[in-house]
Amino acid sequence: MTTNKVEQLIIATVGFFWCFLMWFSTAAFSPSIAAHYHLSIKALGLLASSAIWMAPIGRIVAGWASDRFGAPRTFAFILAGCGLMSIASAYTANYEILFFERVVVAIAGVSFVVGIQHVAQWFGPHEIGTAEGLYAGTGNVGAGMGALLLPRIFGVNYHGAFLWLGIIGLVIAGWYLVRGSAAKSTEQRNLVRVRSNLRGTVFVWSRYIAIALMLAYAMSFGLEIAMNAWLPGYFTRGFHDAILALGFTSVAGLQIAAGTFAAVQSFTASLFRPFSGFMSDLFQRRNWTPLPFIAKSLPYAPRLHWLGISLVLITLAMTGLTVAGLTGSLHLSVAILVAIGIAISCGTGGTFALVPLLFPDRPGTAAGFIGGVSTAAGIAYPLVFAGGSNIHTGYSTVALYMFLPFLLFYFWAARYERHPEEHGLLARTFALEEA
Amino acid sequence: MRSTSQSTTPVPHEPWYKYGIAVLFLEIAIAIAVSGYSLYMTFHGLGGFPGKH
Repeated sequence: MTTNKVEQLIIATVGFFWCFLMWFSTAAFSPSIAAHYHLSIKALGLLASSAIWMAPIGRIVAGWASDRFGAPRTFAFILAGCGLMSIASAYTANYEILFFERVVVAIAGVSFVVGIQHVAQWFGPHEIGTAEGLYAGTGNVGAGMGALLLPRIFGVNYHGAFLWLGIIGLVIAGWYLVRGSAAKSTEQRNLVRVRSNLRGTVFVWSRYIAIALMLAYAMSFGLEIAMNAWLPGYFTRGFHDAILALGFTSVAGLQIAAGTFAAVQSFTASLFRPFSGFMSDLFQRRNWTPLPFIAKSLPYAPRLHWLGISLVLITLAMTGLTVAGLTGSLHLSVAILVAIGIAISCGTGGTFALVPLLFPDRPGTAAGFIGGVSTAAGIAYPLVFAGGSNIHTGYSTVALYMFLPFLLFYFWAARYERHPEEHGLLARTFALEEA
Repeated sequence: MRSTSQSTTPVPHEPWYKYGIAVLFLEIAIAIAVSGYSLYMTFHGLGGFPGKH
């Protein structure tokens, strides 16, 4: 089969876009589902949170599977499985069964790490940042497009939406299987496959730099999904009077105004992500290494520095959001929120511009660990945000007590001038293996 | 257990790259336009994403 890396990038991006569309399609129709089944607020909250339940463990398994069986087979399996379940959910009349089916459809969200692995197998080190950024950024838009377009196309007919999402998912699965190719060369494919064992998984999980990247992704993507869930409530309560003054007096109006601010963060974080990959490539080309402590002579040292800068920006922006909130300025808070969205995109794009370079023989396992475990942070942050005496101070609490230690650990783990991936726990065991 | 080798010497980009960058900036333009429009609508009490007031 004749193919090229651009075709593989397009296949992976379309597959990921559709998976994210399926992932968040339940949320897009939650008001219709709630009205149809007369759901309580608690039941609605459970339905909304169920979308993320499968992500941490699912991404770990999917990452390993993409190394073991190849990205096309793994991705096609996810698309077909979620597509069939989506079709089944279109004909379900019982809420309990529908809930279960939509949890299974939400497994589509784990496909992210499979595509990361796929793209990494085709693109060279000098362009990996832009390629991964285009894949992840464009695919992420599927979530926003779902919220924006699905209710407008299908109205309250969520059955029809679930049916068509599933059918098209099956078509894309077939396309992925026929035209997708796991790696640029057979040698590369075989190397990744033989390394996809338990020992390799333990190796990745125990590396300081992998843990640092996982924490970096928790600071960026973990924060992004936490903010998606938290911000509407934050603006409704923290800026209630200011939003009323804008003319949004009804409950529905308050929801729309608060939802708009939350969506701006999400949209900016998604669509600026390719820019971060591009910046990582640019740092690499110009050999920029401005930060202290972080390695300067590694082949990919400039990318480590770009990610370090991104993490500093996220920490500062979070502190800024607390300051803006305490001033009571809605406009300033929204401006800082846009800055947070951009800083988050820098962190997400910067992280996955590095992962395939640090673990070229285990890209799926590494992506699964870093992209999977980090999503648990999305559950932790809102608890801290809501736990303070003042609704505005939670951001600086997270910045000071969580992000600053994560940042210091990143600087520490990225200081090795030679093979940072060789440093970690169980050093003696892996040293024996190397010998 | 080795990371990939990569020289810091600039490598000429392949033809696809300029199209990739074009898509990248298009996406950024869309992000700015949608965000700007939504914020304008909201700050003027007219509504905004994800629906009308």
